Amino acid sequence: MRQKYSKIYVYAVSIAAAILILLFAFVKAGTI
Amino acid sequence: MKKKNTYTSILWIVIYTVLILTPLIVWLMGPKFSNEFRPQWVDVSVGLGFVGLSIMTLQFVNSGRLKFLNKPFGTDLVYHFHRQIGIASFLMVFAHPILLFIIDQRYLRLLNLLTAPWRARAAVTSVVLLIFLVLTAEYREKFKLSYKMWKFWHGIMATLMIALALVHIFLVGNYVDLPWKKALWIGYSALLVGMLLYTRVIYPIWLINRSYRIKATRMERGDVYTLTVAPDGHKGFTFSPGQFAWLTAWNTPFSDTEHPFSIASSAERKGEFEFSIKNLGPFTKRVQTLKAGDKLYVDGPYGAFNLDRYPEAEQLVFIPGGIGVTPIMSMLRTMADRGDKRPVMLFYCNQEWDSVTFREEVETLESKLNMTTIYTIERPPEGWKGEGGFLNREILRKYIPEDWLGDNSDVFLCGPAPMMNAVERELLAIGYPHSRIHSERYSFA
Repeated sequence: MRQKYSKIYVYAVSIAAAILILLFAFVKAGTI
Repeated sequence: MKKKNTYTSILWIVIYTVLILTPLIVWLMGPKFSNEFRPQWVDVSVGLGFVGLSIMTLQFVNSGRLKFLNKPFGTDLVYHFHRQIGIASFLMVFAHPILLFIIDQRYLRLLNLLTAPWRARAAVTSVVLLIFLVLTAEYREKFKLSYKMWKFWHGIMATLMIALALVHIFLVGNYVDLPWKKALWIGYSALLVGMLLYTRVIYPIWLINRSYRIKATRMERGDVYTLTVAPDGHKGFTFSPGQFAWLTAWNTPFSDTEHPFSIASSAERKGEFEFSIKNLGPFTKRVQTLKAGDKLYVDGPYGAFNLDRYPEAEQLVFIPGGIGVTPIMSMLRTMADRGDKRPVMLFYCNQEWDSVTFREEVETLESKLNMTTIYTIERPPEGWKGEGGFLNREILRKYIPEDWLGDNSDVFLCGPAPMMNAVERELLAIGYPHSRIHSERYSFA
């Protein structure tokens, strides 16, 4: 069960990082 | 205790998340990129590389067996997380060059190590090492690599891989042009070197100065050898019943040849403790040659699988399988020493009746504790009147009262992985909530 929480965190942090990367790249390039 | 662990866990999760996302924040704080010469997708690719690399650097922290980090989560969870986040960071780092190749095929030229600049040579070598690292971790058994060999090369490859990735960042230079950006990556490099120094030099020296001596040995039923161990000129450590320690024999802690064993004795017994080790392989067979007076190194205690973590439990169900009984024995012996009269149900699963380790002592403990014991024997002897075969929901339902199935009782399960998986399914089927079933699993690579 505890392993499932760990997996959920890994998915959440990976998605959060991907969104932030996209956002930052486009914000910095001035397209957003 | 439970609340404290929850708060500490949340604090570490927040710190960890901030640390892995720091390169992005630093990136955002820098000057605007030149959009004319650099498509945004190049920056997406670089961002993925940065986050992946910061996660990989922190892998040295979460695999560094730091007690303050292991305590709130449990050692097994920290290692499982190491593996899961390792795969996620591999995908991020791997996506970095792939995206570049898709954006502009001229980047493919950098793959030729003979003509490529040093920044690309460092990057390509780092990614190749990373691929080896992940493949050997995921398929160690298929590659027929011994655990010892794999562990040694896993550390070497990880260090080289990160060092080369950092060289790549500094040689590219675009993202370390400002002093505080440089400081960030110097900080990550220092963290890597610091963790290597701590785990490979400082901690082994500390362990060498805190050695242990074997006080006594004895054979137990079921080819199990018990070592009574006492600290040699120091106070040793205190533990909670159910925890384990890493044992090094015939070598120093520098050799990285330790093995984990549950502490089997009572947590109330001061000044010494016991390990009961079943003969299951070359190391455990050799353990039987150890004798009183021999020197050992013991690194512990570790593990969230312990009785004291759940003090609110009104009833306790213990389900050991085979030599999985050792942490459970520690719990039972501690309860007896503490005069703990909470109702206990012990489902002790074994292959054969003759090899049931501690069976005579369990009988004695029954009289000291408020305990009912149910033996489940896979291959029962002729005339066996107890439960036979594998522990299943019918047997569990037959003995566990209805009012034990709620939040007021805790189940401690310890044994071979297939047995734990099967019994966990049966426990869920009869109505136990996930949160009340406790186990630790240690097959990672």
